[in-house]
This record gives sequence, structure tokens and C-alpha cells, in this order.
Amino acid sequence: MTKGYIAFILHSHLPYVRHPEFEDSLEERWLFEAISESYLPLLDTFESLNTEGVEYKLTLSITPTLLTMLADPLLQQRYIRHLNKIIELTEKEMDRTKGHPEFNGLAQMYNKKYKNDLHIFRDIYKCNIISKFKELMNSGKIEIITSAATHGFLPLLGINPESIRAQIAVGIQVYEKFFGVKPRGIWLPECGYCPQVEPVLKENDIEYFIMESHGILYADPRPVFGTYAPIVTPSGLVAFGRDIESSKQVWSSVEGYPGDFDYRDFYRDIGYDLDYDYIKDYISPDGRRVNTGIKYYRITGKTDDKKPYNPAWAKNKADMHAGNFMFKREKQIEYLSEYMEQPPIVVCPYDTELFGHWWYEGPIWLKMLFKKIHYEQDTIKLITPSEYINQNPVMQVSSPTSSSWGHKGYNEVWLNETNDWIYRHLHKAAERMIQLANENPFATGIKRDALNQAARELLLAQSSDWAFIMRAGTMVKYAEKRTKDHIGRFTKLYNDIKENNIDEQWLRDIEYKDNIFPDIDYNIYASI
Amino acid sequence: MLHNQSDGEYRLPQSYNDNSITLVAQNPHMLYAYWEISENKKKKFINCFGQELWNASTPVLKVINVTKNKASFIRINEFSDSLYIDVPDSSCSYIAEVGRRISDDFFISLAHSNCANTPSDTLSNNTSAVFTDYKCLKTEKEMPNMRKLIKKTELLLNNDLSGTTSPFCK
Repeated sequence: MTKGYIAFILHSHLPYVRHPEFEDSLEERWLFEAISESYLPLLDTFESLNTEGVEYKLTLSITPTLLTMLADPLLQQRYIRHLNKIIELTEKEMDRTKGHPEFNGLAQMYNKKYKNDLHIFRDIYKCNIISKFKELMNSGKIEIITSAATHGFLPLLGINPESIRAQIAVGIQVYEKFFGVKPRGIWLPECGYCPQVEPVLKENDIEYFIMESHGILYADPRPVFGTYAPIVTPSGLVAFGRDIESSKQVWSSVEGYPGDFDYRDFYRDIGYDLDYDYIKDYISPDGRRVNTGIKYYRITGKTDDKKPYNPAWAKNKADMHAGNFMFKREKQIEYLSEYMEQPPIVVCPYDTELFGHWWYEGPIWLKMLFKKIHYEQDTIKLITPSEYINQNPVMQVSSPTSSSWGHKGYNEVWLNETNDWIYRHLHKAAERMIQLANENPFATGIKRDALNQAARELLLAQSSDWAFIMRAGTMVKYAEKRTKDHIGRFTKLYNDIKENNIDEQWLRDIEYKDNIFPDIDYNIYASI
Repeated sequence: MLHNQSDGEYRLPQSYNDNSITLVAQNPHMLYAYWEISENKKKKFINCFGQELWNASTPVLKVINVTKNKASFIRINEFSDSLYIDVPDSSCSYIAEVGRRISDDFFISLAHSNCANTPSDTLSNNTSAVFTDYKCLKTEKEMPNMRKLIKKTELLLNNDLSGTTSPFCK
């Protein structure tokens, strides 16, 4: 008998890194790697579960920036070009490793994988990954939820409520454009909740969102069931809290599954390992070494002396870890159900890109877990948040606390000495955008184009990714440049609009570069 | 041709010539303030109180805990424009003012901030539990059976399902 539920929520996000102005952009590789290593393997997982008749439920948030990039013809063509290049590299690798069977088998594995990716993407999906996700959504197996337009970290944008409104409303517009229906749930970027989001969510008919554990645990009044049941806020929004125990099992770098010694080592990539002359055509055009996706070693242990990757061992470990995860959830649910009148729910949110990109065996683990849940037990069942609240609409009324899923649980990751300088510019630009919208409610022609572009530039400047990258210390110059470029373009637009002197050629150029949200209406920024 | 043109390197302005201070919470015990005092505001001060008083006064931030109705002063550098501020109280509303302090009893505000709320970092002491159908709140309809839905929850609280602490990291 089913005693409780598990809700898997995979959050899929990449910042908008489309660079038509360059022939080859390092940042566009983030998208290509995510497609090959996470999105296609996960779609393959779902496909094979469907073929086998395995019942499963999963929730997927796909951010508007990612949706827009997945649908972009230029990026689709560049992804195909990228795949052809990797296939060429794997062919060279099969030749180079001929005398080394432990590596040659892996080179063949990669060759087969990337050829298959090309076939699936180009010939089967016709470059349209989104339609595949939509098909799964329509089948009822997965629920797709939305997120903020450019993944703005809302607690630090709330100085201007209009910024929150625009982030959420534009996010929902993009979702409706691609999926044809309204989303019931939203992934607040970085699980960044603050009370100011509530009126906007309500205004947009969002029913639920996901929070970090302590956002629920520290809610007022104290939630009786902790994170094992959603709460409803006084304004009628349902909040689900991340389960601590299951999170640690997957996320933790110390105790988490992905750190197992048999799994593939992410950091040992031939882009760094091989001679420059050999690899130079497959790394960054400026000569910087980057990941190619061809990795031959397993984690091995806390040593630099890495041993060759063994896919069969890794698969076996994924199977064991799936069994372990299921067993622990069964025990957790059995215990909780003794104290709860309604069935407990364990909410397990992860970054989609963890599965496959960072943790190569993640999609296999997920597939094995879902099969085990289907075939091997009847204590727990997979569910989506929407289904859970349909079945269990009665919940405790409580106000969550502001929180995020970043390090230390609040705003530190996005506000610290490495990135705090951005906020005076982001807040000022938002204030100016509101002013422009209020002053020009019925703009037409080029002025309207300029106002819409100003809204795009502001949204792009607000991506949480730039502050995150500045904090992480990787690709900092890129993140700083993106912030400065979007604020700079916004400021020029602001001045040009105020002076009624719009530089049309320049405007068309930045419209081409920053072409996200073609249907945006700047009036979304009019004062609340 | 058009699409290959560069739109150049952008430099962000050093100043917006504003007179303002903005306050945001970094965590339950840390606020971040940034500010800008316009030349115009400074001139007004000097016109009103004289250059001597400007020179004799010290630049300060006044941090006011609105929830607990208490305030403190932090001396700041004449040329600083931002500060992280330790605050003792979580779950409180704060505002900050930037200004000049002439004496212990005499502070002249040059700009005051928005209100920032520090989040909670602890379990709520409020253990009253009201349950309802979320759709009632969503549609703002009356909750007819509210009283009936209030549940006895002592057993659950004793089992401490809400008492675990978060690892605060992914």
C-alpha cells in the first residue's frame, strides 16, 4: 500500500549565451554540453521507461532563457556543427588509442554516443527538443513548470516590485508560447523566495513553488509536518520544501553518490590532457584549453593517479545507489506515515545538469531508480506537486521565510564582496525602466522598439548567473562583461529615448545580438 | 555588415548623481547598504548649516530596527559608498539613513532607505496550527469549515518533524 510520495523536480537552466556576433563562442558550448550530456540522455531515459511500461512521474522546470536557446535555429545549427567536430575528434581518438584497449573502448563509446546524438537531434527530433518535452508533458508523465524570465534572483530585485513582476510575467508568457497552457507551478530562481513574489505569482495564477528546506522549517506558525507536507501561505500559494536527507545523498560532495570512485571523473578531459598541437582544433579558438566531453578516467579516489573509466562498474554502482536511495526513502516514508494523517511527500529538487553533465551516470541512476520504484516495492510512489495538492488540498496555513538554496541559505552567494557592485546599477536601471514605461504608455515605431529592447537588456542584466559566476571565480570576466554590456546598452537606450534621439542602426544591431523575448511588451514595467 | 558592427565596450557610471541609500538583507544578521549623496544635497546642507558644521560633523549611517524601535550609528568613511552592516536581530524590519552626526544628540539625515527585512533563522515559537483547503485561500473565499479543520498537533510537534536543520547548501 502506498504510504507516501516522492516528488522529483529537475530544474533546467542556462543563462542566455547566444553570441551570433562570434563565429565560435565558448559559452555556447555550455548549451551544447548540456544537450549532449543531460537533456538527450534524460529524454532517452524517459523514452526507454515509456517503452518498458514503467510508470513514473517527474517535474521539470525549464527556464525561459533555455527554452529560447533550444528553439533558436542558429544555435541548433551550431550544435550540429559542434557534434560533427566531436565526432571527428572521437574518430581521431579511436585511431590514437589503438594500442590501449582500456581507452580505445571508451573512444568507441564516445564515437557511438555522439553519432547517436546527431541522429536523434537532427533526424528524429528535427532539432526540436522542446516538442519532445511537450509530448512527455501531454502524456502526463512529466509536469513542466516555469521560472523567471532570465533567472533573476528575486529577493535582491524586490527593491522594485515591477522587476519581480516583469521577471515572472515574461517567464510565464514564454512558457505559454512553447507549451500552449498556463503553468501551475514555478521554480523561483535559486529557490529565492521573498514575500514580495506572492502578489505577482497570484496575479499570474501560479499555484505552487518550491523552497529550500528552512524556508518552510522557519515559517510562521511552525509547520507541523516540516517539509513533509506543503504549506499554504495566507495569500493562497502552496509552498513545497526541499527534503534535507535525500538532497544530501545526491548533492553532497562528501557523502553524495556522484563522488563514488567508480564514476567518471568530470575534471579529467582530453581538452586539458593531450598535446596542444593535437587538440588545438577542438578547444577554444583563442587557444584556451576547455572540456571536450571526452573523458577517460574514473574518480578513482583522492589521488591524481586516476585509473581508466569502466562503464560496466559505473553502471553497477548506479544500480546499487538507486537501490540504496529507494530503500532510504521507503524507511523515511514508513516512519513519517506513522505520524501523519495525510501521506507524506518527500520533495527532491536537483539541477537537471547534475544528471549527465556533472554526474555522468545520473540519467542511468534515475532510470534504475524509477524502475525499482515501479517494480520492487509498493510503499512509495512518484508524484508531481500538482497531483499531490489535487489529492491533498488541505494544508497548514503558514508564512515561509525568505531563503534560497545557495550556500548558507540566504542571499550571500548573489550578494558579497565579489558582486555587490552590480546592484546599484541593476536597481537604477529598473527604476529608469519603470520611469520610461510610465512616461511612454503608447509608444509606437522605433520608440516602441527601443523601449522593448531596453526591457530585454534589463532582464538580461538581471540573470542570477552573472553574480553567481563572479562569486564562483570562474569566467568572471565574461560575467562582468555581460553585466556591463546589458546595463551599458540599457543606459544608452534610456538616454536616447529621453532625448528622443534613437540610433537606429545601433538599435538593430543590439536587437540582433540580444534577440530574446521577441514578443515582450515594455509596459510590463509600468508602475504597480 | 550591420550585424558585425561592434557596439563597443561599456563603462558603468561612477555616479548617477542621486541622493539615495538602498538597503538589502544579505542574511538574517547582515544588511548591505549602498548610497550616493549628491553635490546638490551637500550644497544645501552647507547653505543651511555652514561649511564649518559640515567639516566638524562626521559621516554616519543610522541603522534603525523598526520592529524593535531601536537605532544605532556607524561611522563611515567620507568617501565610502557602501557597507555591510552586522545586525543582531533576524525577522526584523530595518531602515538606514546616511547623514552627518554633529554630536551624540544631533544627527542630520541626508537620505533614508527603503525598508529591508532580515529573514528568520530559527523555528517559530508559534505552534498554533490552522489547516484549510488551499483553494479557499487562493480564491479568497470564506473558509466555512475552518474551525473543524483545526487539528490537534501536539503528537506531531513532539515528534519534531519540523525540527531538523538545513545543510544550507546544494
